[in-house]
Amino acid sequence: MPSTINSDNGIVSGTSGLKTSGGNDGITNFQQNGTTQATITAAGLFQFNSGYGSVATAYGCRAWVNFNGAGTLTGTYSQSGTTITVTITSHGLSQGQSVYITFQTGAASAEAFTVTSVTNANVFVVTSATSRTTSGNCTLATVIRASGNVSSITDNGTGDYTVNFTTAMPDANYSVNANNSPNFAGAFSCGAGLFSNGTPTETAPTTSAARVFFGNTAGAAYDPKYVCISIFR
Amino acid sequence: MNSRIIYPTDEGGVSVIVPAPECGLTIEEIAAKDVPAGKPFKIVDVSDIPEDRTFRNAWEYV
Repeated sequence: MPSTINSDNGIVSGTSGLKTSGGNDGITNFQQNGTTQATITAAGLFQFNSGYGSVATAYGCRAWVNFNGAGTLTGTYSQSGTTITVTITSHGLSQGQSVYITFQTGAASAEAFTVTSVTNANVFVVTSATSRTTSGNCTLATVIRASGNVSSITDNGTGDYTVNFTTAMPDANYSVNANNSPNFAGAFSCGAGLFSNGTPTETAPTTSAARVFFGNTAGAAYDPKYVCISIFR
Repeated sequence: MNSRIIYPTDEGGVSVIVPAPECGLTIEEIAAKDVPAGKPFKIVDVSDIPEDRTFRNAWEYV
């Protein structure tokens, strides 16, 4: 049983943990210098003062993802011993991330690697199971750079992706924000079609997934190198 | 995670599920959850997915 801080009953000692239960009205207030800065209402709404002088309900980002829709990224590598230094422009990786790299030239062989370290935005290091000295061109398979409450991305076709949620939304009336890097080859401007597979027929959102389509100003589908999608409810 | 899940689309193409490495689920759990109900699917290695996406919409499920 945790210790409980309750405005009506004071501090009730327990043996483990701490629970703030607010008053018997079910409301928990967090104050500074006598002014309420945050509140959890009896209905469970989290409200806080974001600096604009009043306490209001905050609505959370329920899921988000940043991934490479372009399929693969190409670059170069240099291996000395078991250390492979990979140069790929804007690789977007972080230390400890699992990646799969294939090698088009040189003597290195395709492997599943864990990123040992990230030198900078364009260079990272992995460790091979085999020691050798070689260099050449390489390709990095599609990666989800980072995510929250996203179990996977479904690649349905060119520019056509479904974001699958780890924990389902309370309903399908959430708001989707989608953005992407431009398609310089076709047109600079581009946009995301929410709940779309690229045809006039919409793909209605569900509590477990949302589909997004990316096209250029001519309406042609394309795979952005950077796709950022967030879900609010 | 270097596995992918593939399943056929209603249009005759193929969808490729890319697991999120931070989700805490196994590839089998992701397949059970994210493959549409009733669809056959396969768990494949990432090296089995073509690197060239030029004709991505012509890919087929075999």
